[in-house]
Amino acid sequence: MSTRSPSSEPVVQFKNVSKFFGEMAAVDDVSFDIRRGEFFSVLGPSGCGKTTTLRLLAGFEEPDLGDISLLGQVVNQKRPYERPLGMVFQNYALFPHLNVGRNVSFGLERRSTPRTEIGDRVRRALEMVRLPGFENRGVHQLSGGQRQRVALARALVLEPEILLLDEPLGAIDLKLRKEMQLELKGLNKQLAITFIYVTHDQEEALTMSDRIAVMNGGKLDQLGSPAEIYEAPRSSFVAGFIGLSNFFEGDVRRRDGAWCTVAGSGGADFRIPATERLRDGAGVKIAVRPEWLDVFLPDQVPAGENALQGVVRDLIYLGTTLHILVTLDSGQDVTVALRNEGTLGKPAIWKKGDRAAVTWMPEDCQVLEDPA
Amino acid sequence: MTRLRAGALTYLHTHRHAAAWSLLGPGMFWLTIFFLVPLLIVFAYSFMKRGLYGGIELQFTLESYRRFFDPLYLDIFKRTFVLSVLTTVICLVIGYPMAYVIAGSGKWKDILLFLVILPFWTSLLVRTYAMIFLMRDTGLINTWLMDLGVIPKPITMLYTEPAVVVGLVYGSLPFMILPVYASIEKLDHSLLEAAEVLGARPAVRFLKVTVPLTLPGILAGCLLVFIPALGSFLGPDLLGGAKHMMIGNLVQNQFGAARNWPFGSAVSFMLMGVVLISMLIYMRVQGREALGAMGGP
Repeated sequence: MSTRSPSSEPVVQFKNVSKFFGEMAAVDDVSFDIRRGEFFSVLGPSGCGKTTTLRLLAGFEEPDLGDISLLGQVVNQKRPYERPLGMVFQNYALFPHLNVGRNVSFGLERRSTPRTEIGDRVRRALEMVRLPGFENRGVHQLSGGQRQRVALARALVLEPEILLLDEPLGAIDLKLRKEMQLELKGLNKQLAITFIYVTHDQEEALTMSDRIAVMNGGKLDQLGSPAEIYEAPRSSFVAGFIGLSNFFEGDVRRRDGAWCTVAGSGGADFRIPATERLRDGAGVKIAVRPEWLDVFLPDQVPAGENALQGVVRDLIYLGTTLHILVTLDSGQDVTVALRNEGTLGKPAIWKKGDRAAVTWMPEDCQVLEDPA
Repeated sequence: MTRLRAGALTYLHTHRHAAAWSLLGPGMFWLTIFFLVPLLIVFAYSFMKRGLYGGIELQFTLESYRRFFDPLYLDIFKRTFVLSVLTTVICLVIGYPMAYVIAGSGKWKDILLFLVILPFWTSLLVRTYAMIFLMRDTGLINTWLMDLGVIPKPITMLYTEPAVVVGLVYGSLPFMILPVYASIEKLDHSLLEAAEVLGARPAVRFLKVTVPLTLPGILAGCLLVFIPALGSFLGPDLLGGAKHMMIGNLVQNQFGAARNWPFGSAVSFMLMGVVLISMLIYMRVQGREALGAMGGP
């Protein structure tokens, strides 16, 4: 295809891109760079603008504001067939009137590739997605997973610089989905093609991505590695959308050294790590993951830990973990995740109605940036 | 217990048949009495001698079929075929883009479809007469063109073959638009986008994806236009006059003024033969499409 640009240059660049549908901004002043060969996920709930972002990239939509660059070239006005990318659609979008081989060769034929070469490349592409010899099968004879692979082969046979994937695993059953996740990740590394993957499935994004862009309400909320997104969410949206989070609010009372004491809006004080941003008297909101929390009897709270008193409301058995739902004295419900170390034949530690203290280490929390 | 259940299942099974028959029955009765029986009568007539004042004489002869191959009648047959094909092609060329636009017209869709079927609110006879007033030498078109000074004297439009085709196209256009519209409407938009990402420019995309996927609608529309056009007699009669007779007029003539029922019957059956052959071609193409979609030969 086109000549490769130096690897330091971003393959894809969004610069203050906005797209409006009527009054509504589907994509609202979004900027990001995507690096060569990266597995980049765009994650968010439906209606967050992730699909529009992908459609802008593919060229099905034109940005109203800002610039989109592919391989260093602004492509705002370029039609999809003029862009160096491939795409795998949510519903696969295989041509029902063509067999598997003709589906895969469709793009090659448009590029007037010599006949002999086409047959060869189609064969190799089908081998790559582990469907060797499927050329003459009809699309209707294939299972969902096989169709997905054909769609992948059809895009990859053109050796695009960038592959767009629009929730490609949404319609596949769980076990196959796990397999395909690993395969996609493998293809990404093996072929050194930049993958841009749109999904609403946070677990999928965490499993596969080098970096994740979390979108909400048309805006880019946070961009970072899976660990950054999960362990250091910057907003309550990110903290709530990726994994479970408990939120606590309050006003900053005192700073002493590395810690800040917060007068919680629930009545009890707790401590958080001090940062530059925190000002005395300012409102603050923190997120604490359920697995960072613990429950103790009210009088057995370990020294130095934050503790909020409440009553056990429910116990949920999830297999690897046990969730204990505690209603704090403030009325707020908190979820605590404990590792399941076996419950059969043991006396139950917690019963509904027990008084309990929910505790966490002051450093095990994320101070959020959104206004409390 | 199991025997009881088996009995109940058999009962339900037979009664399902009973239900099916009671639903099919009235229609089958109707078609048998009013389609099959007359058809057999006409078929029988086509092998008989003509009666002096219409009707038939009970005497076997192939005379009617032999007569059909007279150049005079073959010409009518050829003209019918050519005009019908022409009508179908023009309907497709005009109707496909219309259907395409209607299918993509969003909130206007219902109104546009309503406009397409609006002509059915009046009888074709009335509409055809209205076309005479439009096309005759002292009609609206000629008057306007002369008033505007575009032409010095009237153009002869009425009683020509183009007039017949114009009338046929006008009458059959909705039958092309509706099935084509239905197939375009069903078209999965993501297939068009997939083609575009794979490098297909609009024209190529249309030929390689849109047309093959809407082929069932195209074929259905062509049949719905072509077959009635073969048998039409109102348009050719009123707009074409006696010089531009089509088979429909010939049949009407033989059963009417010419009082040759056997010949009229034979002509009808030859027409049916043509329709049947075009149906077979349609099914062959359709069948291949269906097979192709399933990955057949």
